Amino acid sequence: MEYKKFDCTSFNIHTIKTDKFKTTRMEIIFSDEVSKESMPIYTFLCDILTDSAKKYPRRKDIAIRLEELYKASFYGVTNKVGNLFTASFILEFINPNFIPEKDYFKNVLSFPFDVINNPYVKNKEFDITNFNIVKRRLLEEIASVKESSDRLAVISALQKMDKNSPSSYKVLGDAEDIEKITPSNLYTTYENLFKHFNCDIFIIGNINMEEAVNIIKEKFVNRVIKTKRVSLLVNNNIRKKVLEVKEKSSFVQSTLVMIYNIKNLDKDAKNVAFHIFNYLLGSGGISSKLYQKLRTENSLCYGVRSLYLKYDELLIIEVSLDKSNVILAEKLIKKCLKEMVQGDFSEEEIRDAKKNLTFSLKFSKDNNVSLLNNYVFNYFDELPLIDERIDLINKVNKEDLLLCGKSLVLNTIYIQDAGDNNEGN
Amino acid sequence: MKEIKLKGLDETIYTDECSNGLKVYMWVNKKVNTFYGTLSVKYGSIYNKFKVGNKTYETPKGVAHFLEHVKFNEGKDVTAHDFFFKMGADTNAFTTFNYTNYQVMGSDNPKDNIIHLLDFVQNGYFTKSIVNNEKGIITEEAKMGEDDPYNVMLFKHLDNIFATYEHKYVITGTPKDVKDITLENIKLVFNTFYHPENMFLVVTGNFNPYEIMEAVRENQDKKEFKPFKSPVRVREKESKKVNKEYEEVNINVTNKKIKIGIKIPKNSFKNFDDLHKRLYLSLLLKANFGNTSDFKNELLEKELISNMSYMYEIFDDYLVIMFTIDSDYTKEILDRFKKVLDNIFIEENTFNRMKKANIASLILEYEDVELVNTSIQSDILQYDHILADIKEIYENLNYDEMQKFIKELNLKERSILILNPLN
Repeated sequence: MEYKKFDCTSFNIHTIKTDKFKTTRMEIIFSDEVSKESMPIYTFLCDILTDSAKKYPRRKDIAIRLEELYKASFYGVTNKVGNLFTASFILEFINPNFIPEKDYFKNVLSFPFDVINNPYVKNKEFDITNFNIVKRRLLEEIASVKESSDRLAVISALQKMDKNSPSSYKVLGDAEDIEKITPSNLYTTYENLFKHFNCDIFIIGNINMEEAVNIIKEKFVNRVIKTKRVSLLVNNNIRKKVLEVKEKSSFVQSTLVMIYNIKNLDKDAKNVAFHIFNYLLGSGGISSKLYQKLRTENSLCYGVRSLYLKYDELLIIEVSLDKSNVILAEKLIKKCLKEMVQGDFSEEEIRDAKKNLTFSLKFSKDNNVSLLNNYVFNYFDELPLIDERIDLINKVNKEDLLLCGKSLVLNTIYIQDAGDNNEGN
Repeated sequence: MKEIKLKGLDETIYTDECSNGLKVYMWVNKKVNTFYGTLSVKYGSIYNKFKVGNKTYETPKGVAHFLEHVKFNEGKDVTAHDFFFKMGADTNAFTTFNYTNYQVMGSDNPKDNIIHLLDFVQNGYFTKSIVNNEKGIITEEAKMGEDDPYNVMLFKHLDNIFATYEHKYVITGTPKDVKDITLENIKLVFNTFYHPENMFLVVTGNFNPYEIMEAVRENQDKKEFKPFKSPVRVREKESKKVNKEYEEVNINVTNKKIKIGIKIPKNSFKNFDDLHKRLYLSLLLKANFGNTSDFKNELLEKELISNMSYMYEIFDDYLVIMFTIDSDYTKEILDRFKKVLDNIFIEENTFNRMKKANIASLILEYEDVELVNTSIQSDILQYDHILADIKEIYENLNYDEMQKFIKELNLKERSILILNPLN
């Protein structure tokens, strides 16, 4: 694997050459600080930019062109990681050595730039037909959160924790945010994307990278130089008294969400040790402490998960279960964490957790998305590369894990209560 | 060991069979860091009534899935998870209508992990207390399914399409079904279906196929199995008519949905085997209802729909197509669908473009260890052999045959399900 960075003044190209995959993946990543107000409109923009273009006025035209390019895929996504907001345009295509067509490489690599540099716009307004299609889709996506009990519970819990924290902001926003968007202010947003956002292009695959860089330089119009660096860390407040909230729902199961702050851990601990701690606690599947306590020993639930939000310095534990068992589950989760803080786990368990995490990292080396993602966060936040992380995992000891346990402070307990007729099966 | 060369794809599948009937399929990729092993048992949620010789057995719904859960117990307080956790490997399982699949994935010691996969699945350790403890867990899983509107609407629609087929019932069973399952049911189905002759092993990734085959053979030779009972699934005759032509229900969805199910008897096709039915149907549906279709584009532009998707599947003697449309305009949508379905067609250039794209993307199937494993499983389950000439089959699809296929395709038997939001 060979990594190279090309500074193109107003944007960077990062190439990762490897013969491991039959596909090439390119991500054009625009990044800026999280902003509650602007994330929904950038999400709208990302969607409409990949749905149409001057040359391809309808979604169907884009789809046909991608099929002609041997089923290449192209889509846009927005994402929030800690305090970093990204709007990405992603292209994946078959390596040119499998395709007999002479101009295939140039055609397929140029496609995303033909699209995002030439939106379907008239008089500085996006085409109303495409605008309405995207608007409707996003409104329905926002509404559909209410269909998923666990997703809804975690979002609600974060909002209750602190609605002014970037950790609780919604990338899609609410229906009112979407209603405020017009074809005209969407075009202004389009201009702002190029004016204000940093831009990095990452490519991974078995292609001639020099040629790829030349094609991108020729095709990509992005002239404004930006030098802003974004810190990914969100500073979430710690509560003196735990917030407890219970809300009614019509779901069959209740959902319990417990949010903990993580305080005073250094970067190495957050990058490596806390992952081991979390693996032992709840992210390690059926062998984890939470699974053992809640599922195996007490048959309370099908699954329980602990989610580590590194850049938000939060740990979220979430479980769906019969409403009559919520109080017991809360007690057991607290007991489990207390035991972890007291060091009630063996050297053997630590060794096994390390082995499992090492496997996960090795597995991610077999996947071009994970590999590329690792280089992205290595660049944005100096996250160690996979092999370095495997070395660091092996250096972690029980003391490091005890510090992780001690860093936890309970912030919020949120219960999404099942409907009245759903108790005691 | 046999080597199956996949023509035009430059890939090889290694295959062999143990003396007890266990078939093994392997695909090697030396560029990856991991291996993935799956052991499939041809027994799933639709096997609730079966015959062994002249004797008929009936079990509660959800037994196959229940067995999958308790199968991980290997002895008193010992589970397969304990072993794999120590090995740094990941294990899981799932149950479908037709089969149950057990998996292990890791980066080190493929041989030991694969052997343990065989050992725990073929080990019949079950106790009353294990069964009772698992009931609470599976009841919660079944309730999770009841909270998932997409799961609810799928099974509601299958219920409206099929009068007798067991596919209409949820795979986990309902909380009531789970309550009824006994240790005796578990032992009965394990002893009947979990036989090497009724299983197959697929290993993909970075490993030595000769070493794995040797270890598997040695492991299987050491174990004793009673002769396979060759159970036969008992199924009621299913009517060509749909069970319910139209129904409206209220459910926890935020946007109104229309589902159209089409039931086609497999024997209404005279000239197409299952593989060709799937291939031609896939192209036809994509051309008429996919992202490149004028129909979908028009519905989106006229704001009649916000989304629309389809799936098709063969359920025993029937080919079923299911559309899901997000729309508030029931009558308009049903009228327009009727028109398209009654006049379904594909243009020759569209047919050729889609065919060319499909051939190119075949290359990509042989990259990811999980995808290749799944693809081998589906070849075995659907066709009972590896499709070594799949590229050629794709290349030989032709427009004239597509016209014949359209003539034989009967899309008249439809079941409409309207899902209204609760509030």
